[in-house]
Formats: sequence, C-alpha cells, structure tokens
Amino acid sequence: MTRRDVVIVLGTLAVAVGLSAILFVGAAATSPDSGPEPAARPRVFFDQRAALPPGRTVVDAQRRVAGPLQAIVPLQRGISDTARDAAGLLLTLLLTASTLVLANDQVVAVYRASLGGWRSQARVLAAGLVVLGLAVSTAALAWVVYLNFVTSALRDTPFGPGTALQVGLTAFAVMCVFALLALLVGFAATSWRLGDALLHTRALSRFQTQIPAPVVALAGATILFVLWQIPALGAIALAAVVAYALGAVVTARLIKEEVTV
Amino acid sequence: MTEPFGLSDLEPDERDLHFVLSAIPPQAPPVGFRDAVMRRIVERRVGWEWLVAALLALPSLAFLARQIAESGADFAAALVNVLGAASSETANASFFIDGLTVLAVALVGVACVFAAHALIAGTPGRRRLVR
Repeated sequence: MTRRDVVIVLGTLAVAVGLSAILFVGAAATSPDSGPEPAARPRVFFDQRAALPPGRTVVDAQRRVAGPLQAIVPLQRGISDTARDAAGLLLTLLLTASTLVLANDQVVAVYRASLGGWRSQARVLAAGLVVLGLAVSTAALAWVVYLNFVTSALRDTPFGPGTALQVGLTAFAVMCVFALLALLVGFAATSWRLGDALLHTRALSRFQTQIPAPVVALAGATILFVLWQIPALGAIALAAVVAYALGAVVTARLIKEEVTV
Repeated sequence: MTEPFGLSDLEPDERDLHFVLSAIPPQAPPVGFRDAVMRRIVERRVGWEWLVAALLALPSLAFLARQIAESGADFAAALVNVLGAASSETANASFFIDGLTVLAVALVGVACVFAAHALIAGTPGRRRLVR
C-alpha cells in the first residue's frame, strides 16, 4: 500500500470508530421499552390514520446508555435527523458513484463527448432538448394510439381493456427504466464535467491534479443536488441537467469524433 | 558515414562500455517473463479498498441486524401499511424513518461501491482510466 492508501485506510478507520459509537448509542437509546420509561418511537412508520408517536427525549435516551457515551446522544440525534433529511443526497451520491464504477467505459465516453468550448456545450444541451422533446412526443402519441386501440379493438373481448392497460403500463415502465439507465450514465458524466469545470477556475486550479476523478464527479453531483433544492431555480436546473445528460449520451453514441483530453 | 556497430552517436568515453556490453551474447527471457512484468506494472493494488469497504460495512450491518432483530415488527407493519395505502384511495399518510437506519443503509451501499471497484480493478487485463 502506498502512503496515500494508508492515510485513507486510517481515516476510514477513524470514521468507522466514530460511526460505530454513534450507531451503538442510537441502537441503545431507541431500543424497545423496559419498565416505566416512555415508549420508543418506531424505527419505520407509515400510516394513513394514526399520527407518529412522540419519541424519547434526549434526557430519557441519555439514561439508557453508559456514562461516557451519554455525551454522544445529542450528536447522535443531530446526525440521525440530518441523515433522514439527506436521504436524497445520499441516494444521488450512491447512484453516481456506482455508475462511475460499474459503467466506467460508458461514462468516460460520454464525458469525452461533452468536452469542448461553449459551442460544444450548447450543442450537447440542444441535442438533449431535442431528444427530450422527441421522447415526450413519441410517448404521448404512443399512448394515444394504444388507448385508441384498447378502447376500440379490444372492446367486448376476453382480453379486455383492463388487462391491456396493465400490459401497456408494464411495457412503459420497462422503457422508462432503460431511459433512466441512460440518464444515470449521462448524469454521472455531467457531474464529472461540472466538477472539472470548477477545478479549472483560478481559485481551484492548483488542486486539479491532486483530486481523483470520482471525487470530482461526486462534488459535481452534490452541487447539482443542492441546486435542485432551490425553489424556483431547482426545477429549471433539473430540466437543464436532464437535457444535458441525455444530450451527452446521444452525442457520445451518435457522433464519432476524436477528442483530445 | 555510418561506422560499424552503430558507434557514430556515442561519445568516445562510452565506446569501451559499449564494446563490453555488445560482446555479451543475447539471451531470450523465459517464456511468460514479459507478461509477468507487465502484470506487475498494470496490476493495481486494491487491498485498501477492501479494508475501507469492510470498515464501512461491518458496523452498519451489525446495526441493521440489531434493528431487524429488535424492531422487525415495525418494518413489517410499515410495509403492510404501504401496501394497504397503495390499494386504497387515501389522501393523507405520515411517514417516518430513523435517520441512523438511513445512514447505515447508505454506508452499506458505499461499501458495496468500494468492493465492486476493487473487484473490477483487481481483474487482470482490464483497461482503466487513470487520472
């Protein structure tokens, strides 16, 4: 192992020890009731009628753990609340990282296709918008045709409209999954590209060679996720990212050109 | 004019050494030698990734196992309620999940990403992007 690897492992070890302590305190503080203590809040709760029961207070939780670990309870509460709110970000980062690992060649190809100046960027975005419009238009027309077929040709048949609609919805869901996979590859490349663009700024340019590509991509994904949370701008940013990601995938797939990295 | 033994590009001081070295008969390296050397060069050491994956996964898996052992009924009840809500026309529902469970699940995912990368990078003969 190189020195950098050792540092990473030691850093992870420190993080793992800290996380283990927090997970232990969380498990002990919210374990099922014993004696006269207030009831613990369920770990997972979904109900249409009943309201979420109140959880134990920090003081109640501190009573359930040993002395030195009592100090961690407020921190554990904070991390627990933050992690619940950050589930979307964690999912985005996990999907980006797994795409970078499992579809590395495809992401690299899309990344290469999106390189270039503002003209190239505009072309990629335009290609994405065109493809998006094409997909929406095609899907809408396909549903119109299919619904017409179901309500006219399949009327009063054993294979009724209900079954046909289920088949149609299932087929549509499968097509959506394939589109999402392509979008995932494009999103990973877009995040990488955004991170790269930030590293080319004067303030960050000295870190260009030191930061590995996956970290650059994850930083880009984090920035995009934060952008999506802004009320009005978020929807526009989401649409732009989806269009750019699709455009990059299409550019990589259709345009065969040599790009110098 | 080209001198014998290709000496035209050598400094005078280098010629004696060149004569000595060129007197050694050429020897073919053993079969597989080149492949072995190239494998050593190309091979990436991924032991640290396995370590990181284990460090992240083990506490999280232990936590999740304890959660299921202690509060498995909560998970089952929530799942039943979700299925019930999907088949009814209810407009309101409340949802809650313990944040540490979310964190533990995410950490298991991150550990799996590290493990997958270690598996792929450890496979010989694969082209990789090195930055």
